[in-house]
Amino acid sequence: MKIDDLIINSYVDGELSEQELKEFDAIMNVDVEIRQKVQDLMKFNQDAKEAYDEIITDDIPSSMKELLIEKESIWKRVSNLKIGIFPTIGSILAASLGSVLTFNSIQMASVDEKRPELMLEEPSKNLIVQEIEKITGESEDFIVLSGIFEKRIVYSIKSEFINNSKENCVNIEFENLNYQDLTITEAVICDQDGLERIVKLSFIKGPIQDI
Amino acid sequence: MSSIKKKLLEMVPQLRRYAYGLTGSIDKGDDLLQDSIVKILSMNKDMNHIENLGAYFYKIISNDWKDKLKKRNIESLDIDNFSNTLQSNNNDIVEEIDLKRKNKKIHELINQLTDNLKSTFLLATIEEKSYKEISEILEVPLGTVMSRLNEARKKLKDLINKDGLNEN
Repeated sequence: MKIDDLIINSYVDGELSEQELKEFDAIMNVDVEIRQKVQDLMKFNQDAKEAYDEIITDDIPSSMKELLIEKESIWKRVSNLKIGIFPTIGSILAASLGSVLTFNSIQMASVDEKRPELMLEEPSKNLIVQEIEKITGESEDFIVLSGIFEKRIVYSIKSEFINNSKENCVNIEFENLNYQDLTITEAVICDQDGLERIVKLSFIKGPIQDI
Repeated sequence: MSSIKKKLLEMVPQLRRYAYGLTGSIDKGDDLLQDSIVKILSMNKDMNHIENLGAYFYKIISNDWKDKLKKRNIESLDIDNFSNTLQSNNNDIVEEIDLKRKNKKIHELINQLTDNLKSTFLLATIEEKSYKEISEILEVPLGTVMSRLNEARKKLKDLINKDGLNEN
């Protein structure tokens, strides 16, 4: 084995094969100059590492923590809450619809046990209807439901939403959310980096037919 | 996504150290890392297939830093100029260098390397990455990694010999 700087580097960096390592060790045992080079390089590497290691024990900047620490997901909150869920949903809807929604009747256990039933007060209903009217002009599709051709409209309020993983989203089905000929059936609310948004709102024009 | 965040969070200290090494300043390093994290989190792609996620993060940071350098037209100082500066400013102080000053001196020396040499040196020596990983992170052949590393160490050795850091 011919020892040059590249080989010395590879030795110090742990890149030599087992066979090469044996040969190198044998040469280093008798060659004082090579031994000295290795020691100098290892010493400098150690000094350099220590010089940069200072930062390792620093606290993580809060701006990075904000980005990386998972907040409690909506799903977890919704599953844990009972009556308390509705102000949260109300505020989420309000954030999306641009106004405050109020509920005058709440009956629910928890979302995974029973679907929520709620009725909206008139001003809130109007707001939803206004939003739906805006939506229906932009996106619509049709599905066959119960053998009857009905109009079902699904609108992604934020279609570029990138974190649509199930763990951060809650799918809320409404049983009794009606206004005139509209039945709102479902809302998908997701939590992305602590921001809660409605990402999907589904409704049917006309009453739901029993299958 | 949450597994990516978890992995990133685990690696923040090492990634900060690397970004600090590249930029030569904690603040600039943090800015670089913050931008890279935002970029990683906004990538709408499945990262589960990526074999070495850690190396992938280093790669993103390295590429972001290259982009920033291009945009800002930052150029590393010429080594000869730096050597002259060292010689003119540091005649007798080396023996009195305490640990902090020695660390600062090491940062100064490393910061005088060109960006290609510096990133290779930092990944090999500070981040203790294998040559293969460095090759993947910097997207250069293995032979280039070895020659860059050798050149970086040679230049640092020259600077240290002139500076007398070893005598400390």
